[in-house]
Amino acid sequence: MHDAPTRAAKTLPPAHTREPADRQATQVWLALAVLTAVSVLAAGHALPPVGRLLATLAVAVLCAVKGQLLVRGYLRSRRAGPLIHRLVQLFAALAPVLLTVSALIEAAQALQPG
Amino acid sequence: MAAGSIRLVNSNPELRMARPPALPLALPLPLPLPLTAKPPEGAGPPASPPTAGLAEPAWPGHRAMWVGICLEFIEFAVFFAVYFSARWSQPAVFQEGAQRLWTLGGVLITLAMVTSGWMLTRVLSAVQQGRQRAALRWMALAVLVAALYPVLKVAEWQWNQAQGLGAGSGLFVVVYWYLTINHFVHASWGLLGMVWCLLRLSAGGYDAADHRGLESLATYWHATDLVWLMLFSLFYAYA
Repeated sequence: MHDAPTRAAKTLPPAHTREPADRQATQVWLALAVLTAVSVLAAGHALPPVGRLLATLAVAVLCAVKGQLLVRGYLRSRRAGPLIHRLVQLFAALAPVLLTVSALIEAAQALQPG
Repeated sequence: MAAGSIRLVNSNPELRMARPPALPLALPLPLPLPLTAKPPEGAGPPASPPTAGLAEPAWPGHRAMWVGICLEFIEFAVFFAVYFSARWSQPAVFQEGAQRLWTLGGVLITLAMVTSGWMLTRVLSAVQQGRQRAALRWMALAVLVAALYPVLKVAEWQWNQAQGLGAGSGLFVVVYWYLTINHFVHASWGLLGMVWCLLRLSAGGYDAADHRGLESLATYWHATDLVWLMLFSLFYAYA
Protein backbone atom coordinates (compact mmCIF):
# COMPACT_ATOMS: atom_id res chain seq x y z
CA MET A 1 0.00 0.00 0.00
CA HIS A 2 1.43 3.38 -0.93
CA ASP A 3 0.34 6.91 -1.66
CA ALA A 4 1.61 6.96 -5.22
CA PRO A 5 -1.25 7.41 -7.69
CA THR A 6 -2.46 4.19 -9.25
CA ARG A 7 -2.93 3.75 -12.98
CA ALA A 8 -6.65 4.33 -12.64
CA ALA A 9 -6.03 7.51 -10.65
CA LYS A 10 -4.00 8.91 -13.51
CA THR A 11 -7.20 9.23 -15.50
CA LEU A 12 -8.80 11.35 -12.75
CA PRO A 13 -8.28 15.08 -12.28
CA PRO A 14 -5.07 15.95 -10.44
CA ALA A 15 -5.17 16.47 -6.69
CA HIS A 16 -5.20 20.26 -6.80
CA THR A 17 -8.46 20.28 -8.77
CA ARG A 18 -10.16 18.24 -6.03
CA GLU A 19 -9.07 20.60 -3.25
CA PRO A 20 -12.10 22.89 -3.68
CA ALA A 21 -14.39 19.88 -3.05
CA ASP A 22 -12.48 19.03 0.14
CA ARG A 23 -12.60 22.67 1.22
CA GLN A 24 -16.34 22.81 0.58
CA ALA A 25 -16.87 19.64 2.65
CA THR A 26 -14.91 21.22 5.50
CA GLN A 27 -16.96 24.42 5.26
CA VAL A 28 -20.19 22.41 5.40
CA TRP A 29 -18.92 20.59 8.48
CA LEU A 30 -18.03 23.85 10.23
CA ALA A 31 -21.36 25.42 9.29
CA LEU A 32 -23.30 22.42 10.63
CA ALA A 33 -21.40 22.54 13.93
CA VAL A 34 -21.94 26.29 14.34
CA LEU A 35 -25.63 26.15 13.40
CA THR A 36 -26.17 23.32 15.90
CA ALA A 37 -24.72 25.51 18.65
CA VAL A 38 -26.81 28.48 17.49
CA SER A 39 -30.04 26.44 17.57
CA VAL A 40 -29.32 25.39 21.17
CA LEU A 41 -28.62 29.01 22.13
CA ALA A 42 -31.86 30.10 20.46
CA ALA A 43 -33.98 27.56 22.31
CA GLY A 44 -32.20 26.64 25.51
CA HIS A 45 -33.98 28.91 28.00
CA ALA A 46 -37.45 29.72 29.28
CA LEU A 47 -39.28 32.30 27.17
CA PRO A 48 -42.64 34.11 27.11
CA PRO A 49 -45.15 32.92 24.45
CA VAL A 50 -44.03 35.37 21.75
CA GLY A 51 -40.39 34.62 22.49
CA ARG A 52 -41.12 30.89 22.28
CA LEU A 53 -42.83 31.41 18.94
CA LEU A 54 -39.81 33.26 17.56
CA ALA A 55 -37.35 30.76 19.04
CA THR A 56 -39.22 27.77 17.58
CA LEU A 57 -39.41 29.50 14.19
CA ALA A 58 -35.66 30.15 14.40
CA VAL A 59 -35.03 26.49 15.23
CA ALA A 60 -37.20 25.46 12.25
CA VAL A 61 -35.24 27.75 9.91
CA LEU A 62 -31.91 26.50 11.26
CA CYS A 63 -33.13 22.91 10.86
CA ALA A 64 -34.03 23.60 7.23
CA VAL A 65 -30.69 25.28 6.54
CA LYS A 66 -28.73 22.43 8.13
CA GLY A 67 -30.74 19.90 6.12
CA GLN A 68 -30.04 21.73 2.87
CA LEU A 69 -26.35 22.03 3.69
CA LEU A 70 -26.13 18.30 4.28
CA VAL A 71 -28.21 17.34 1.24
CA ARG A 72 -26.27 19.59 -1.13
CA GLY A 73 -22.82 19.33 0.43
CA TYR A 74 -22.61 15.67 1.44
CA LEU A 75 -25.56 13.60 0.24
CA ARG A 76 -25.66 15.12 -3.26
CA SER A 77 -28.95 13.43 -4.02
CA ARG A 78 -29.34 15.41 -7.26
CA ARG A 79 -26.96 12.90 -8.84
CA ALA A 80 -29.34 10.07 -7.94
CA GLY A 81 -32.05 11.32 -10.28
CA PRO A 82 -35.04 13.65 -9.95
CA LEU A 83 -37.37 11.23 -8.15
CA ILE A 84 -34.98 10.38 -5.33
CA HIS A 85 -33.82 14.00 -5.12
CA ARG A 86 -37.42 15.15 -4.63
CA LEU A 87 -38.03 12.50 -1.97
CA VAL A 88 -34.90 13.57 -0.11
CA GLN A 89 -35.90 17.24 -0.36
CA LEU A 90 -39.38 16.39 0.86
CA PHE A 91 -37.99 14.62 3.89
CA ALA A 92 -35.53 17.43 4.62
CA ALA A 93 -38.42 19.92 4.59
CA LEU A 94 -40.82 17.82 6.66
CA ALA A 95 -39.55 18.52 10.19
CA PRO A 96 -38.97 22.27 9.60
CA VAL A 97 -42.47 22.73 8.17
CA LEU A 98 -44.12 20.78 10.99
CA LEU A 99 -42.03 22.68 13.54
CA THR A 100 -43.34 25.92 12.06
CA VAL A 101 -46.91 24.65 12.33
CA SER A 102 -46.20 23.61 15.93
CA ALA A 103 -44.86 27.06 16.75
CA LEU A 104 -48.04 28.70 15.45
CA ILE A 105 -50.37 26.22 17.20
CA GLU A 106 -48.55 26.50 20.53
CA ALA A 107 -48.41 30.31 20.32
CA ALA A 108 -52.14 30.47 19.57
CA GLN A 109 -52.87 28.18 22.54
CA ALA A 110 -50.63 30.21 24.86
CA LEU A 111 -52.13 33.55 23.83
CA GLN A 112 -55.75 32.42 24.23
CA PRO A 113 -57.45 34.35 27.05
CA GLY A 114 -58.14 32.26 30.16
CA MET B 1 -31.60 0.63 -55.79
CA ALA B 2 -34.36 -1.64 -54.57
CA ALA B 3 -37.73 -0.16 -53.74
CA GLY B 4 -38.12 0.81 -50.05
CA SER B 5 -34.39 1.07 -49.31
CA ILE B 6 -32.79 4.25 -47.99
CA ARG B 7 -30.00 6.04 -49.74
CA LEU B 8 -27.21 6.56 -47.19
CA VAL B 9 -24.70 8.64 -49.12
CA ASN B 10 -25.57 12.20 -49.97
CA SER B 11 -23.79 13.52 -52.97
CA ASN B 12 -24.60 17.17 -52.19
CA PRO B 13 -21.50 18.66 -50.41
CA GLU B 14 -23.49 21.45 -48.66
CA LEU B 15 -25.82 18.98 -47.06
CA ARG B 16 -22.87 16.84 -45.97
CA MET B 17 -21.36 19.88 -44.17
CA ALA B 18 -24.62 20.40 -42.29
CA ARG B 19 -24.44 17.04 -40.53
CA PRO B 20 -24.53 17.28 -36.72
CA PRO B 21 -21.22 16.83 -34.93
CA ALA B 22 -20.34 13.49 -33.42
CA LEU B 23 -21.53 12.89 -29.86
CA PRO B 24 -18.90 13.35 -27.14
CA LEU B 25 -17.40 10.14 -25.85
CA ALA B 26 -17.90 10.87 -22.15
CA LEU B 27 -21.64 11.36 -21.91
CA PRO B 28 -23.02 11.43 -18.35
CA LEU B 29 -24.87 8.14 -18.13
CA PRO B 30 -28.31 8.13 -16.49
CA LEU B 31 -27.75 4.60 -15.20
CA PRO B 32 -24.89 3.16 -13.12
CA LEU B 33 -22.09 1.55 -15.00
CA PRO B 34 -22.49 -2.22 -15.35
CA LEU B 35 -20.77 -4.34 -12.73
CA THR B 36 -17.93 -5.87 -14.63
CA ALA B 37 -15.04 -7.93 -13.39
CA LYS B 38 -11.79 -6.11 -12.82
CA PRO B 39 -9.09 -6.71 -15.43
CA PRO B 40 -6.33 -9.04 -14.30
CA GLU B 41 -3.15 -7.59 -12.85
CA GLY B 42 -0.71 -6.55 -15.51
CA ALA B 43 -3.35 -6.12 -18.14
CA GLY B 44 -3.00 -3.12 -20.35
CA PRO B 45 -4.87 0.15 -19.98
CA PRO B 46 -8.64 -0.02 -20.42
CA ALA B 47 -9.96 0.14 -23.93
CA SER B 48 -12.17 3.12 -23.10
CA PRO B 49 -10.90 6.53 -24.13
CA PRO B 50 -8.93 8.47 -21.51
CA THR B 51 -11.68 11.09 -21.19
CA ALA B 52 -14.08 8.47 -19.82
CA GLY B 53 -12.28 8.53 -16.47
CA LEU B 54 -12.93 12.26 -16.10
CA ALA B 55 -16.70 11.88 -16.11
CA GLU B 56 -18.33 11.97 -12.65
CA PRO B 57 -20.21 8.77 -11.87
CA ALA B 58 -23.87 9.31 -12.67
CA TRP B 59 -25.14 7.57 -9.54
CA PRO B 60 -23.31 8.00 -6.22
CA GLY B 61 -23.02 4.55 -4.70
CA HIS B 62 -25.31 1.63 -5.42
CA ARG B 63 -28.88 2.25 -6.51
CA ALA B 64 -30.18 -0.22 -3.90
CA MET B 65 -28.69 1.95 -1.18
CA TRP B 66 -30.70 4.95 -2.39
CA VAL B 67 -33.86 2.87 -2.33
CA GLY B 68 -33.01 1.83 1.24
CA ILE B 69 -32.42 5.46 2.19
CA CYS B 70 -35.78 6.51 0.80
CA LEU B 71 -37.42 3.74 2.84
CA GLU B 72 -35.57 4.99 5.90
CA PHE B 73 -36.91 8.48 5.25
CA ILE B 74 -40.45 7.15 4.89
CA GLU B 75 -40.04 5.26 8.17
CA PHE B 76 -38.89 8.39 10.00
CA ALA B 77 -41.60 10.47 8.36
CA VAL B 78 -44.10 8.16 10.08
CA PHE B 79 -42.18 8.63 13.34
CA PHE B 80 -42.38 12.40 12.89
CA ALA B 81 -46.14 12.08 12.45
CA VAL B 82 -46.24 10.22 15.78
CA TYR B 83 -44.07 12.91 17.39
CA PHE B 84 -46.13 15.86 16.21
CA SER B 85 -49.46 14.17 16.99
CA ALA B 86 -48.25 13.63 20.55
CA ARG B 87 -46.75 17.13 20.82
CA TRP B 88 -49.90 18.86 19.59
CA SER B 89 -52.05 16.83 21.96
CA GLN B 90 -49.88 17.48 25.05
CA PRO B 91 -47.69 20.56 24.45
CA ALA B 92 -47.05 21.24 28.14
CA VAL B 93 -45.77 17.70 28.73
CA PHE B 94 -43.37 18.03 25.80
CA GLN B 95 -42.09 21.41 26.92
CA GLU B 96 -41.45 20.18 30.43
CA GLY B 97 -39.88 16.91 29.27
CA ALA B 98 -37.52 18.54 26.78
CA GLN B 99 -36.08 20.80 29.52
CA ARG B 100 -34.84 17.69 31.35
CA LEU B 101 -32.93 16.19 28.40
CA TRP B 102 -29.14 16.25 28.26
CA THR B 103 -28.67 19.04 25.72
CA LEU B 104 -24.88 18.81 25.75
CA GLY B 105 -25.21 15.09 24.99
CA GLY B 106 -27.37 15.92 21.97
CA VAL B 107 -24.81 18.46 20.77
CA LEU B 108 -21.96 15.97 21.21
CA ILE B 109 -23.84 13.26 19.30
CA THR B 110 -24.49 15.78 16.50
CA LEU B 111 -20.79 16.63 16.38
CA ALA B 112 -19.87 12.93 16.29
CA MET B 113 -22.30 12.28 13.42
CA VAL B 114 -21.36 15.35 11.39
CA THR B 115 -17.62 14.97 11.96
CA SER B 116 -17.58 11.31 10.95
CA GLY B 117 -19.63 12.23 7.87
CA TRP B 118 -17.09 14.89 6.95
CA MET B 119 -14.29 12.33 7.43
CA LEU B 120 -16.07 9.98 5.05
CA THR B 121 -15.99 12.70 2.38
CA ARG B 122 -12.22 12.86 2.92
CA VAL B 123 -11.98 9.05 2.61
CA LEU B 124 -13.76 9.19 -0.74
CA SER B 125 -11.64 12.09 -1.92
CA ALA B 126 -8.44 10.24 -1.01
CA VAL B 127 -9.59 7.01 -2.68
CA GLN B 128 -10.55 8.90 -5.84
CA GLN B 129 -7.04 10.36 -5.95
CA GLY B 130 -5.49 6.93 -5.42
CA ARG B 131 -4.08 7.92 -2.00
CA GLN B 132 -4.80 4.63 -0.27
CA ARG B 133 -2.84 5.29 2.91
CA ALA B 134 -4.54 8.65 3.49
CA ALA B 135 -7.92 7.04 2.82
CA LEU B 136 -7.20 4.37 5.41
CA ARG B 137 -6.21 6.99 7.97
CA TRP B 138 -9.40 9.02 7.39
CA MET B 139 -11.51 5.87 7.51
CA ALA B 140 -10.00 4.77 10.85
CA LEU B 141 -10.66 8.27 12.24
CA ALA B 142 -14.24 8.21 10.94
CA VAL B 143 -14.87 4.87 12.68
CA LEU B 144 -13.38 6.17 15.93
CA VAL B 145 -15.46 9.35 15.91
CA ALA B 146 -18.65 7.51 14.89
CA ALA B 147 -18.03 5.03 17.73
CA LEU B 148 -18.49 7.93 20.14
CA TYR B 149 -22.20 7.81 19.35
CA PRO B 150 -22.92 4.57 21.29
CA VAL B 151 -20.66 5.77 24.12
CA LEU B 152 -22.58 9.05 24.33
CA LYS B 153 -25.88 7.17 24.12
CA VAL B 154 -24.96 5.10 27.20
CA ALA B 155 -23.99 8.29 29.05
CA GLU B 156 -27.26 9.89 27.98
CA TRP B 157 -29.24 6.86 29.17
CA GLN B 158 -27.59 7.20 32.60
CA TRP B 159 -28.37 10.94 32.63
CA ASN B 160 -31.99 10.25 31.81
CA GLN B 161 -32.27 7.65 34.55
CA ALA B 162 -30.93 10.23 37.01
CA GLN B 163 -33.52 12.73 35.75
CA GLY B 164 -36.33 10.23 36.19
CA LEU B 165 -36.88 9.94 32.43
CA GLY B 166 -37.57 6.20 32.47
CA ALA B 167 -39.85 4.29 30.13
CA GLY B 168 -42.86 4.85 32.38
CA SER B 169 -42.45 8.62 32.64
CA GLY B 170 -45.17 9.65 30.24
CA LEU B 171 -45.86 10.36 26.60
CA PHE B 172 -42.86 12.62 25.93
CA VAL B 173 -40.34 10.06 27.18
CA VAL B 174 -41.97 7.25 25.23
CA VAL B 175 -41.83 9.26 21.99
CA TYR B 176 -38.29 10.40 22.75
CA TRP B 177 -37.02 6.85 23.28
CA TYR B 178 -39.04 5.54 20.33
CA LEU B 179 -37.41 7.94 17.89
CA THR B 180 -33.89 8.14 19.30
CA ILE B 181 -33.48 4.38 19.79
CA ASN B 182 -34.68 3.80 16.24
CA HIS B 183 -32.10 6.28 15.02
CA PHE B 184 -29.47 4.60 17.14
CA VAL B 185 -30.30 1.25 15.48
CA HIS B 186 -29.89 2.82 12.03
CA ALA B 187 -26.63 4.49 13.04
CA SER B 188 -25.35 1.17 14.42
CA TRP B 189 -25.84 -0.40 11.00
CA GLY B 190 -23.85 2.45 9.55
CA LEU B 191 -21.13 1.96 12.13
CA LEU B 192 -20.90 -1.74 11.30
CA GLY B 193 -20.72 -0.80 7.63
CA MET B 194 -17.86 1.57 8.43
CA VAL B 195 -15.92 -1.22 10.15
CA TRP B 196 -16.52 -3.45 7.12
CA CYS B 197 -15.32 -0.73 4.75
CA LEU B 198 -12.27 -0.11 6.94
CA LEU B 199 -11.36 -3.79 6.69
CA ARG B 200 -11.92 -3.84 2.92
CA LEU B 201 -9.95 -0.65 2.48
CA SER B 202 -7.03 -2.07 4.47
CA ALA B 203 -7.14 -5.15 2.23
CA GLY B 204 -7.02 -2.99 -0.91
CA GLY B 205 -10.65 -3.63 -1.76
CA TYR B 206 -11.29 -0.10 -3.04
CA ASP B 207 -9.37 1.94 -5.55
CA ALA B 208 -9.86 5.02 -7.70
CA ALA B 209 -11.69 3.02 -10.35
CA ASP B 210 -13.98 1.02 -8.07
CA HIS B 211 -15.19 2.45 -4.76
CA ARG B 212 -18.96 2.30 -5.11
CA GLY B 213 -19.33 0.30 -1.89
CA LEU B 214 -17.52 3.02 0.00
CA GLU B 215 -19.64 5.69 -1.65
CA SER B 216 -22.80 3.77 -0.71
CA LEU B 217 -21.71 3.65 2.91
CA ALA B 218 -20.99 7.39 2.94
CA THR B 219 -24.40 8.05 1.39
CA TYR B 220 -26.12 5.96 4.06
CA TRP B 221 -24.23 7.70 6.84
CA HIS B 222 -25.09 11.17 5.51
CA ALA B 223 -28.77 10.15 5.28
CA THR B 224 -28.70 8.91 8.87
CA ASP B 225 -27.01 12.18 9.79
CA LEU B 226 -29.84 14.10 8.11
CA VAL B 227 -32.37 12.20 10.24
CA TRP B 228 -30.38 13.05 13.36
CA LEU B 229 -30.31 16.76 12.50
CA MET B 230 -34.10 16.66 12.38
CA LEU B 231 -34.34 14.75 15.69
CA PHE B 232 -31.97 17.23 17.30
CA SER B 233 -34.28 20.09 16.43
CA LEU B 234 -37.32 18.18 17.72
CA PHE B 235 -35.89 17.22 21.11
CA TYR B 236 -32.70 19.02 22.13
CA ALA B 237 -33.38 22.47 20.62
CA TYR B 238 -36.88 22.64 22.04
CA ALA B 239 -37.91 26.22 22.70
